[in-house]
Amino acid sequence: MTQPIIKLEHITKSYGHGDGAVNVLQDLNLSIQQGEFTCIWGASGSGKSTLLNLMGLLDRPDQGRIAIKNAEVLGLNDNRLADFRSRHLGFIFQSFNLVPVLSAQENTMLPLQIRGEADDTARRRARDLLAELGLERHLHKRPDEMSGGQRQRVAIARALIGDPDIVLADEPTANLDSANSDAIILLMQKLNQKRKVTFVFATHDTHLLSYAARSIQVRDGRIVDDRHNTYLKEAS
Amino acid sequence: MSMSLAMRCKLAARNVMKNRRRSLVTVLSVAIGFLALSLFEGYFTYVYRILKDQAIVGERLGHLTVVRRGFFDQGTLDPEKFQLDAAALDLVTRTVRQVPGVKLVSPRLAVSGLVSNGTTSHIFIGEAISAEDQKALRGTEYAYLPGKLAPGQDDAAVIGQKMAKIMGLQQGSDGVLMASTLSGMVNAVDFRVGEIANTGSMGTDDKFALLPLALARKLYGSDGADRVVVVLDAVDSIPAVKPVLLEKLKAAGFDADIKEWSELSVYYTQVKGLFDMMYLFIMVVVVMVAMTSVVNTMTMAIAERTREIGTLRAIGMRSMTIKSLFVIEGVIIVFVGSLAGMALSYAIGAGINLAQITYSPPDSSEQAALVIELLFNNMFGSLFTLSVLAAVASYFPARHATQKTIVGALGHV
Ligand SMILES: Nc1ncnc2c1ncn2[C@@H]1O[C@H](COP(=O)(O)OP(=O)(O)O)[C@@H](O)[C@H]1O
Ligand SMILES: [Mg+2]
Repeated sequence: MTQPIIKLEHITKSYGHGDGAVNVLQDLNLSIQQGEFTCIWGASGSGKSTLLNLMGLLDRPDQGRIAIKNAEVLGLNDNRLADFRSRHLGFIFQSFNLVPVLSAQENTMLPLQIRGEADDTARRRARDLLAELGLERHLHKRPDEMSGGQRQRVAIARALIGDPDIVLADEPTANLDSANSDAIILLMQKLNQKRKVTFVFATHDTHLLSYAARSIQVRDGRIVDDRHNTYLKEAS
Repeated sequence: MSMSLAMRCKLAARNVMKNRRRSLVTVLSVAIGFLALSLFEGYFTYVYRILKDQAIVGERLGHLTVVRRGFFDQGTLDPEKFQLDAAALDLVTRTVRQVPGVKLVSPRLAVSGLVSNGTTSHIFIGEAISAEDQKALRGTEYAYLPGKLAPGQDDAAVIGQKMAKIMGLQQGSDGVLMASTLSGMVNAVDFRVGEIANTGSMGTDDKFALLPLALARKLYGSDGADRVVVVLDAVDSIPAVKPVLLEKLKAAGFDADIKEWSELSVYYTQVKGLFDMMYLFIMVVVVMVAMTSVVNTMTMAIAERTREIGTLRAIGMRSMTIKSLFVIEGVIIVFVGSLAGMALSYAIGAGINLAQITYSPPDSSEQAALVIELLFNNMFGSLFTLSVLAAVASYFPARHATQKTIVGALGHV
């Protein structure tokens, strides 16, 4: 078996201190393989976001080890972590989180510009990627001029533009209607297959499970089920 | 690896434009503050220039005053000891003339005593200068000023208007000047009122007398002077020329003490001190108001964009870059406000100058003009200072925001 791309070992995470502390994750172990299309699901409050935030290096665990692409990442300082995220991780958020003053194309360019890449390269790559996602007519629109589904596709473009190894999506469809939800998950699935990018998404919507190749159920901060499926629903 | 400055400026500018109304209020408050500051500074600049000319030409202080060391402290107690006799005066004059940058060397005598019209007498205090030197000192620019000594008329003195009134003297009247000579004898000389001129100051107008040097020498039994006033080609060269003068005089065997006009004009120093304090006070108030407005605007902008900050950090932007975005934003607002303030200053300054407003200053018997003299360098200095302060004022709220956890910032609604 190949080395996992994400490896969490004995992860403990709590919020608050003293008597008011809430233990969210207790001694959690999880490995994700390169190229997997994984759904983390469970009821609201079960700890999905906490888990994704740790995998995405947005937060640090109280105890345990995290390795991404075999690199022990918890020893990195905040700037190194930022650089690591910029090179290896992409993020998709529930509320899209596009920069309101930037157009679709400019939002998509942002991760490349953060890395210091030239503006014209970034612009060209963003245009090509947005065209690939069917947004060629919306390049110059600001987020408030686009629908939710369009915005989330721009967010997907932003997550993918830097050729990350892993894309993490916390409730990517929670702000979308069901038709748009399905379309977004199918798009992610298609990009996973085409680009071999590892996707991990969290949802409380069991309806989306049928799109995932692997589904991990979380309850009260523990993994209670972890199974591989053949896709029940697949992009054509 | 980090975002280009051009992109940072673009992002910052877009965010400034996004909150047009809020930005505009801040820009306006900065502009008005800048305007107030510039107008005061422009007015003070004018006043300083007038006072400076007043001291150099009006008070006849020239640029530098050369005396025998000790004169400034003890000259009044023992005038004879510090006098420059004909030989010393000649030595000083010749030495000073050789120094490059020196335009005029003018010997002087301080005079005081009693003036009499035959029936009553009254105290006089003044100075003696040669009519030629006075003319050279005034140049063409100030040739029109009243209180002129007439060349070749060595008995014609200028007296203050109030003094003339008290003594019942008119132009052409004869009188007698009395004083004690250097050797301590009482002496008297006849004089004629050459001109009656207001000194511009109520404190001096009733006792002022300006004598031709020859008349004063006769009165005091002197063949020299008590000091030598030096005028240079340019007032700016004082710091360069002064040490050279000291050195050359020393080499020539004359132990000199030299003071600049600003050290000798008590009035200038006092007025400038007062105005500088006023300016400082106004500046502190204006800067505080403007910066409070900037801090307020930036704190609101940052609070509103907490989630955006979290997002940018999540996708790999470093905290320092994020802080720089807000710093640039604050600087843009203040920079634009300052530019607007500068434009307003030029417009309103020109308006004030056109209106030819006059007022009467304290201790002055004449009307003074309210003129604004704007200096680009001063305004650029204000613009630069305000921009730096804006950067500081934006940095701290931004730093506070980036010290939050990313997860906390992302969860912020
Ligand atoms: N910042 C926080 N402070 C305190 N408790 C938190 C915080 N974030 C999450 N929690 C708690 O941790 C638990 C798991 O939350 P979360 O990971 O957001 O779950 P999910 O994403 O599955 O809804 C919940 O009980 C939640 O109340
Ligand atoms: Mg959640």
